[in-house]
Amino acid sequence: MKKNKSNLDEMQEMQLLKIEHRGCWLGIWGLVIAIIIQNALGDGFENVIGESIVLLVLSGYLLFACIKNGIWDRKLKPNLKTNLLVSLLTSVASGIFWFIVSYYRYHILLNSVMTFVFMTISVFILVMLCLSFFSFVYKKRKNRLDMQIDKEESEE
Amino acid sequence: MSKNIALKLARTKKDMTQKDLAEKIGVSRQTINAIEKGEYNPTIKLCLKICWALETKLDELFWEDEEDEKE
Repeated sequence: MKKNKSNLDEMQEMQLLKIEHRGCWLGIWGLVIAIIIQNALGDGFENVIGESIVLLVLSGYLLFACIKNGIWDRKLKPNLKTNLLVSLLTSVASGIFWFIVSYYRYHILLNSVMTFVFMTISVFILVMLCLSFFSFVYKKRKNRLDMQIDKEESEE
Repeated sequence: MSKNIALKLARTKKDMTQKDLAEKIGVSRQTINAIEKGEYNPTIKLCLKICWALETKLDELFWEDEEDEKE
C-alpha cells in the first residue's frame, strides 16, 4: 500500500507536534476557565454540560492513552506523598473558589465557611480516590509492559 | 526502520540488560526496547548517550546504508 507522503520534514513535524500540544492544553484550560466563570456567574449546570462533556472526553482520552503507553507525568511521581499533596492543593483551591461564590451570592459568612469546609473535604476525598486508583492502574500497566519486554528478551 | 541488531550486540557484549542500559542513561525500558526493535527513531542526543554508555562509536550502532534505510 502506498503511504501518504507528508509535506513536512522532520523539524516541521516536531514543530507541528509542539503547536498541537500547546493547542490541546489551551483547549483544556480554556474549557476549565469557561466552566469556572459560568459557575461563578451562577449559571445552572445545564449551561455548562457541553463544555463539561468535551473536557471529560478529552481528559479521559489523555488519561487512557498515557496509561496504555506506561506514562504518568513529566514531573510528578505516582506515590502517596504526591497524591496527597495534589489532592490537598486542588481541594483547597476548590474550597476557596466555592467560598467566594457562596459569599458573593448569599453574603452569609458562616454558610460560606461551611461551604468551604464541605467542598474542601469532598474534593479532597474524590481527588485522592481518583489519583490512588489511577496510579494503581498505571503501576499495573507499567509492570505488564516491563514483563512483556522481559519475555521478549528471554525469547531472543 | 529495521531492527537495531548492532545495539543489541553491543549491549549484550557489555553484559547489560535493557533495564541496565535504560537506568544508566536515564530513559525507560520501553524506549530502549523500541530502539532495538526499530520502532523508535532516537534523537542524536540519545544516540550519543547510548554510545557513551556502551563505549562505542555512533556509526557502529546507528549507521545504516542508504539501501537498508529505504527498505
